[in-house]
Amino acid sequence: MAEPAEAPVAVRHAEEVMGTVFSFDVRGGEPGAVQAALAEAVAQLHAVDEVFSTYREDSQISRLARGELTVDSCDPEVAEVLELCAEAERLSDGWFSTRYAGLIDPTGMVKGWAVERVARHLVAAGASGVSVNGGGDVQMYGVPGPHRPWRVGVSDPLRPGGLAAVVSAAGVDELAVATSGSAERGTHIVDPRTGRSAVTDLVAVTVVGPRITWADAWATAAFAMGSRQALTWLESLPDVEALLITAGDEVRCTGGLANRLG
Amino acid sequence: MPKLNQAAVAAGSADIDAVSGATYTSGGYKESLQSALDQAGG
Repeated sequence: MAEPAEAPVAVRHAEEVMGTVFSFDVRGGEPGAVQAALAEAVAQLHAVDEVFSTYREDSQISRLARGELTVDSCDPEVAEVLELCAEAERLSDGWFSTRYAGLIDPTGMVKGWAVERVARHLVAAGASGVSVNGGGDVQMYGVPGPHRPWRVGVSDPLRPGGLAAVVSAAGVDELAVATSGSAERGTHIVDPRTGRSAVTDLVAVTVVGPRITWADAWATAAFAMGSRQALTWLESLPDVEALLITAGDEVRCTGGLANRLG
Repeated sequence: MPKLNQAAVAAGSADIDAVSGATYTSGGYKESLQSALDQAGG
């Protein structure tokens, strides 16, 4: 059967970096340009990890935390990320925090920011559809092909391997889906008020919006808040929908989430 | 069970491109739905 030449070529890649795996699914564009941009995107992720990793003694962020560097003497991306962190902290009333054990730690911002950055890089290279998943935080642009939108499954935190929902990019050119939760690595989200693991009735918060940089930060903040405060706060944010799942397997959604499912 | 768009999320029939969930480690990725998607599309 002669298939019309309208399904764009898909380029896929999985890269282990930042302690997790980044999955790329890039559609369309000129193949050589897309392959080159993908290689650049992967290199960018490793460069970001070198600068921002708190696990590396010699990273700029570790040296900054020890007072051996100033922000001005770091790569410009450090100031950029720290400004985003300050903005997220302000907009979340301190629930998103970049201080851990008294030291600066922008880890909660870096991954989402890096996902968005490399996804934009692929769009700029001419791809017609881009999906980048950084360890569970997804940014999508455009469309995968002519006949359907991008679709993102949301992991069911209480049933490994299952999905709690499917979010569709129908009608939008950019879609971000971020999830914070305890399913993969236990409770690793810190309550900024106590410096201890967050006491929360939630097992997962999924935030849907246009940009993964913010969706990721909001999911982190909302998880620490607990379901009641988180739902009220998330409803107040523009262009944001959310799905919250409690330890008791209850599901709470913002009012507009249903329009994004599919 | 969360009763959202249940038909869409029925095992095996979900036509999805990526999976969002709590951040997995490199080891956790190997057991993940995202890994299965990456391999299927490979």
